[in-house]
Amino acid sequence: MSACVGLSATGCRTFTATSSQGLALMHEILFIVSAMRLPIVMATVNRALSAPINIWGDLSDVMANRDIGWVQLFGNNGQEVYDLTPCCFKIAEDRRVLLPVMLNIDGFTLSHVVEPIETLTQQDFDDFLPPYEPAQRLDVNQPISMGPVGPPDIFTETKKVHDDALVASRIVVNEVLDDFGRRFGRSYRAVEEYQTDDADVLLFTIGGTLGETGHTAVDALRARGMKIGQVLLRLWRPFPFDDIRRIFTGRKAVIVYDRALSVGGPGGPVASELRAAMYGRPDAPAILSLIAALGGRDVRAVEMAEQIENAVRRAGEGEYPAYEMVGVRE
Amino acid sequence: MTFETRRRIGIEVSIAQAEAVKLCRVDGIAAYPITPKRTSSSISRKSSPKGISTRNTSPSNPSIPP
Amino acid sequence: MNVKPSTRELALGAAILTPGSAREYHTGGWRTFYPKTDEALCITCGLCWIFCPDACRVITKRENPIPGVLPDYYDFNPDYCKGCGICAQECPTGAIRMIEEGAP
Repeated sequence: MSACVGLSATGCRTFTATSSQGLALMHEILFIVSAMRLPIVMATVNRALSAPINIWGDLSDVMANRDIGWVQLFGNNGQEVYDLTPCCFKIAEDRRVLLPVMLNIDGFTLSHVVEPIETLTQQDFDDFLPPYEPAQRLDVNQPISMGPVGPPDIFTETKKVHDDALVASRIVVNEVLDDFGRRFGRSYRAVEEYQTDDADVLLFTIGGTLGETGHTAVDALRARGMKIGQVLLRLWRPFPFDDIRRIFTGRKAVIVYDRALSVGGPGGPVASELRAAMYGRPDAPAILSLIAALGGRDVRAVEMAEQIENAVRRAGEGEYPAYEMVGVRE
Repeated sequence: MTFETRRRIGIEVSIAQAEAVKLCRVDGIAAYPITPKRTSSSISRKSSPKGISTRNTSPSNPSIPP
Repeated sequence: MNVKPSTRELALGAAILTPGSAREYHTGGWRTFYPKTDEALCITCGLCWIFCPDACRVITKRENPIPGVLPDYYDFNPDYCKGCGICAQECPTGAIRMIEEGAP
């Protein structure tokens, strides 16, 4: 990532990819990239963090990097990953954003599977993504210092600017995704909804594995008569509070599946963000946090459907813990 | 693997993304040395020791052989 | 840096756009206490000049010089004095007192 900082600072369109321990190792530099406003794009193939040594998929790596100040998106299948890649550059390099963008891809179950992909041509990419024009870069003829010391009398101001930029990038994210949809016919949104119109109960997932297994579980539960829908979070940072509140307000219960655990904390990271978004609001749903699919463990759609039914029943009885690890042998 | 027309192909997702990155005309990629198992020998030779390949040093953009 | 920049005035990524501008950055802004020298007690021994870690003790003309004996005394350079107080600690005659900035 330090090599990317140098590349990007000299005005190059820069890409890299990482995963798990590699992401943890570059943790220090990730903050520097975003605060220096370098529009680097990085694919993060989400895998567990050791120990015990585990190379399989979960979201422990990205969830330990929530506060790095990057735009963080999730691709839920191969087509999304392909399509969102140019979107990431377009968002990152927009003069209203100028922040790095992380595209998260579930390890193995998405990164290493063969899928049918609708490709685009070089002309399509060129039309959609203009050549990169850096807003500022290292140039011997016009010397500047990037990444200098920020003493106490300006550090707070720099953080405020960074926060404002990341929050405001929401608008650009939507614009770019809409633009992509108009050009190529595949539309993406910051928060995706599935069968939510009449749903009392919502399944809330992040990442491709739980997302697409969740579709099957929702279909099965609908066939059994449960009024359930699914919400997939594509944009993790900036967290889309407005969409989340619009979608979840007035529902009876939300079952949140997290693929990471905040050990000794509030449970699942996504559930804890949802609770923060809904806290103190009238008509807030009961929020149940389930932790599953850690370290590459498979969660089958039938199991997911059972877990959801069980959680909904317990929510109705008003007895449920702050969070629960499901499928664990005790 | 770049086509003149849009088409539907079966491909590993990580490779599909590398292809998309190539089509984005990136100038530089930093890659851990074990990563580019499919990089063509010509690009490997021209890569800098630190694993940074740039458009200037490799005639066809990084990562995927034709 | 007397006027501190607001969020709207910071360059992108807090970059520094003017080469050599460190010259204009005065670390004296970090100071909470400043060293006030009592001219009457200063014997111009130069111990404060030796001990000052920021080379901020400067020879200054006395308002009321003692001709042929003590024409100068040591004062501080407000641009770079961080107010560490070492000079006040080391002064053998107790001529230097630390005073809070802006104190009446």
